[in-house]
Amino acid sequence: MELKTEERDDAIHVIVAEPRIDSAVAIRFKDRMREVAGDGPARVVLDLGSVDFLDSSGLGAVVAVMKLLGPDRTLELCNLTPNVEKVFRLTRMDRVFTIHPDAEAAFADKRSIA
Amino acid sequence: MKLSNPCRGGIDPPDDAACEGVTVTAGGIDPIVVEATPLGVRNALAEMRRKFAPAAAGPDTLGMAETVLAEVLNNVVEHAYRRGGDGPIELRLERGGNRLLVDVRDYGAPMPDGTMPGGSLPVSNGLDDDPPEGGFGWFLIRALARDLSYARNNGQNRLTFFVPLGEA
Repeated sequence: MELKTEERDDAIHVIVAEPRIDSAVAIRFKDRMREVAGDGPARVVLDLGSVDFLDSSGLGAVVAVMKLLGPDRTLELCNLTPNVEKVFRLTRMDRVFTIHPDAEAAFADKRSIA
Repeated sequence: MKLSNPCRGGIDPPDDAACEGVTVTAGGIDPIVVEATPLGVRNALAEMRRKFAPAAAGPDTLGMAETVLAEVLNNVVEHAYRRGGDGPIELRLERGGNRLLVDVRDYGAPMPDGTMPGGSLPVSNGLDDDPPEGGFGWFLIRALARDLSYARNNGQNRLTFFVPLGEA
């Protein structure tokens, strides 16, 4: 499970460099996320631009990551591919997460609020 | 659409188990057989894409079919075989117009109470900040599959359905 990270001010940008988050890797994904983002900036922006496929195990793992960040930190998503976006929309998890169209928007938002 | 000839491929049902009345009929084709493991599921999905990929580049029309199929196969791995990984999953796929007809068979435990679970969205314990981490599988299957049918016969589970093919 390859994750690339970049720290940006009060956020960490985590890019999933894998084509799938499915039941074969969901637990590893969660564990790796804990390693790279378990402590750190308040905002975690998860970039799913390389992920073509996410099943219910993967969706559950993303929710689990949000929970492990705790109440004072947020998990935001960006760069969802059409199939992944549809899974979030169908399950209404698009209402639970802040979803940005791309990384630029994810970090521009923050600047405009600041 | 009904099968006009007896079931073939894989383990045959007994002679008196006619295939009439099966609403989705991808049954009469050679199955893809994979191990009931997460990697077996991946292989099955890759094979589905290989077989039904459009000839020309364009929007992905197989995405939702892959989603449904993944959930169905994951359920076989996690529930019917309970992660034992020692049973086969037979997958029969056939394209019918703008539909992917699917027939999935396994030899694991039957569905609880012999029926398919419902398709309601999982609920958390009422708190907005505590969304569920699981229970999405059958919701996605019910939301995306059509003409779902389940039968248990002679130790075999058989799930049939179709998925409309189209852009996500």
